[in-house]
Amino acid sequence: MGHSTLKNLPRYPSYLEVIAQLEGDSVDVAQIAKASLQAVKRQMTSEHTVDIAADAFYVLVKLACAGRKKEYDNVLEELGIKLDKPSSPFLLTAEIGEYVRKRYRGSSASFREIAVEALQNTVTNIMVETLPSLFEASTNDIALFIKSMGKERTFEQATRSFFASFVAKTISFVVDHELGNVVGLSAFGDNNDAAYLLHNIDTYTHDIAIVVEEFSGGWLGKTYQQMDGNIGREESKKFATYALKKLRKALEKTEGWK
Amino acid sequence: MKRFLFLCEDSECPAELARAQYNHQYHLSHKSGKRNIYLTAEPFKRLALLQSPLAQDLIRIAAYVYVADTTVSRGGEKDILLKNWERHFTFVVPVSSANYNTWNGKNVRKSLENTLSLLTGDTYTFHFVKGYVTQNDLLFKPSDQHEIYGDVAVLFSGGVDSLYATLRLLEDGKRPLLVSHTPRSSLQSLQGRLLSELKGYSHHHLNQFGARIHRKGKPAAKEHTQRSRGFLYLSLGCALALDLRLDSVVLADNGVVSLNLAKLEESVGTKNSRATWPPFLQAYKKLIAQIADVPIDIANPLQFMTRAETMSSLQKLGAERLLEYTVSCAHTRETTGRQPHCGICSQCIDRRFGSIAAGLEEYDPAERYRKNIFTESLDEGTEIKLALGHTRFAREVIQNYGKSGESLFSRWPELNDIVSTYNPTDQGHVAKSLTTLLARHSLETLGVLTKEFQRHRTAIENWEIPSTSLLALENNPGIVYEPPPARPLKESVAFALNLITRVSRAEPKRVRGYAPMLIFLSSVFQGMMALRSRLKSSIESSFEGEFKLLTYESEPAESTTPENAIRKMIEDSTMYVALFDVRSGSNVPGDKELSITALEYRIARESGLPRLVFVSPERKGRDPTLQSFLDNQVRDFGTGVKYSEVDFADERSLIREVRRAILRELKTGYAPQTS
Repeated sequence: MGHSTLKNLPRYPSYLEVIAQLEGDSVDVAQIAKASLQAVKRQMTSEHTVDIAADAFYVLVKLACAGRKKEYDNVLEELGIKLDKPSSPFLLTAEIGEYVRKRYRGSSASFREIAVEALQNTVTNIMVETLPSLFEASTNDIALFIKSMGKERTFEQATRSFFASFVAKTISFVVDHELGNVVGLSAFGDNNDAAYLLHNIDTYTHDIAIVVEEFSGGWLGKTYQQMDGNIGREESKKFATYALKKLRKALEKTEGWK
Repeated sequence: MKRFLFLCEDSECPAELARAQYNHQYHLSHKSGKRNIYLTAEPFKRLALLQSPLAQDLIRIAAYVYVADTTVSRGGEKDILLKNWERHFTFVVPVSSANYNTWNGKNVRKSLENTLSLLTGDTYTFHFVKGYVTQNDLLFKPSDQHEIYGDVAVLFSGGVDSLYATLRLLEDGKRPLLVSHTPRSSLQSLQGRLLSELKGYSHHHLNQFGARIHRKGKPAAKEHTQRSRGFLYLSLGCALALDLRLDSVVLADNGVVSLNLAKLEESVGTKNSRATWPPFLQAYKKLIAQIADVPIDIANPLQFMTRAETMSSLQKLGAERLLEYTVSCAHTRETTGRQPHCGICSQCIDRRFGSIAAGLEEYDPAERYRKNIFTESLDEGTEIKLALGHTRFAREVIQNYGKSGESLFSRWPELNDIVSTYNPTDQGHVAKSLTTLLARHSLETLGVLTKEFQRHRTAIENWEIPSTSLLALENNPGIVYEPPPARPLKESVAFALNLITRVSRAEPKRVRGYAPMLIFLSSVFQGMMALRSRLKSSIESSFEGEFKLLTYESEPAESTTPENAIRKMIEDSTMYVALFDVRSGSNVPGDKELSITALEYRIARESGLPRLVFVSPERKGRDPTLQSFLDNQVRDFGTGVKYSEVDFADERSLIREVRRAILRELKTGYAPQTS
């Protein structure tokens, strides 16, 4: 009980650059991120992975739509989410994760779980900011949270957080297969340095993800109006595909973030 | 996703399944001649157990799944993106004719598939066929030769947690029946040694039921992760419970291991095992409720305890010397009797930190570990990553906890999946308890790391520590932490409840399984029957069977007077809750002054029970006898109680107030004080 299955990066050409970056004498977060994304580029940009990320993002879009309506139950039910009364923030967060898992069960487990984590992480962050207390939230507080998701500013933050988190977790997922092996033998003098790198990957990706935030609020307002308050999966996917591409491009261009 | 078909015991593939495409098709059988599953439970056989066809079906299904799980690879070392991690299994399983309709029910199949899916990450389709006949060559052969006494099944692995759970049950006056899965004889002998020591702590004979279930012959094992083993293990306990009509199965795993949160970024989904993961246990409970004709409770009493706290509690029971007979290692194949722990698997790491944190190294010395992670070289890969992951996790928990407990839910969102399986009204409390559990565990870990730096200071200064040992790869956190002496903090409701079960009983009674704590509910009947019923169901469901609200009307008939029945119910209880509205209610026959509710209050007071009284604020129209009783008895400055005024018309508030008061009473009245 309590087991964990761990693997090292295979010595394929695509991963060698990641290993080389980690074994180097200095730590360059931008280069490590670039090498990691390059190593999994084919899988990450495959239609299937984009679909997973787009569907997770679709949940945020639906929450935003729900936040703009008086009655939000129907909107959530479209995602198969039926909140019991009394409800709780934990239940809502678990349900939205389950929505993504159910749709992609049996597919590439890594990207699906990363997308679920990014989505749940984003939603929990907003709950923590919006609600008086996560631990003592009432059913009314859930309504308060959903209402806040309808605001353009909250949606911008959520979008940035989700895509940043999805990409950062992908990078860390790749890196952490090897990171422990280089501690003490490279620029990572001890375990703290390794933890610091993972923290920096997160911060770095979130910094760069401002490029996604910049156009997401406008997109929500415009599309919501065009679609009569019912933004569909297709529109969300277009946005998500574009956002992911833009973020990847921005990360590829960035140099020297240390 | 790859799809695999498993035809069990000569089953034929039904037409609707034959149309699907499979990557491979396998035959599984435990019958001699074609056997590729070794399925035996000698003690079960000898002791005439598993006569129930339903119990036999359950174990066979679990065994087929377990063997199938190890038959098909999850993609191997190089599939780091987990493309082939999840598999789809289709099983055609013959079940006993008597239970065919049960297994084939849509809800049962769905529950079974969901439960396994949660545990393993794989997906499943079950197709049941009629006609599995309990034959003479069956390994679970009934014989009717022996009798067994016991009231609760305990999954007994031979580790610290299951040892402690067993001792606690013995301490509570229960007679546990120990159930073990022993795929190898070496494990059996380790458990046997512990059991013979454990017998010195029991007044009764302790029965152990060890089942040997593993694969045999071809096809050879291609997968060693064994995520489905938790299902098999739990099914052994439940099969025993079904057969003996026990109402409780206890499986003990300390809270942090049971949550098994990702310590490394590469650990996503079921790369972390979930054998005692709360959502899995909930799903399994649901499945058992659907197939069993009597309710079986499944409980992990250590859900809110760390490993170190479990060990300290062992000491409190005077059983710390048994530590040396326990084995927690996941690699027992590679260890020896002198060094039964490899030292580098996740279980050994957690145990080593735990025993140092609990100050019990004397009984669990470093020499019992093949590798000392603090001072010996760790190999590249899993060894080094598990060790660094353990301490990195502790640091990260403390950093996040320092911001707020809530931020742990952002960092590890799977905590939401866990908390959401509890009753909604309890989720906030459970969430808080889990955050403090993680914080305590992390402080223990960092405290131990600090101690080890101090202990090996000279060797570190002289560069005598290998460069890939944990002390060389870590830095001194400088945290001095002394865990609470024996018990966890009082937020640990489960622990508090168990404690109450123990301290409140002057004379331990024979009960079947975990006795819920009894709370007597007193009120008039007229106009309040519906409220009593809702209060009872709400309180009982909120605490998942830990409490039973005793109401006169819901107890079975007895050949005793109503007064004696009431007296007995109150005396058996550990708490008294009363609701007083406007009516005084019927008087005790022959006594014009004393109402039945006033008599109940008096008995509770005389029995020394904690009394929680709720009075409606409505004085207008209140029966003068009741008002006088409230003024003179309940409000009496010296002997009364501090009652609470609650609007009875607002049922939700009333129920919430009662729950709060019960919890507060538990914490202040009984819960252990911590340093």
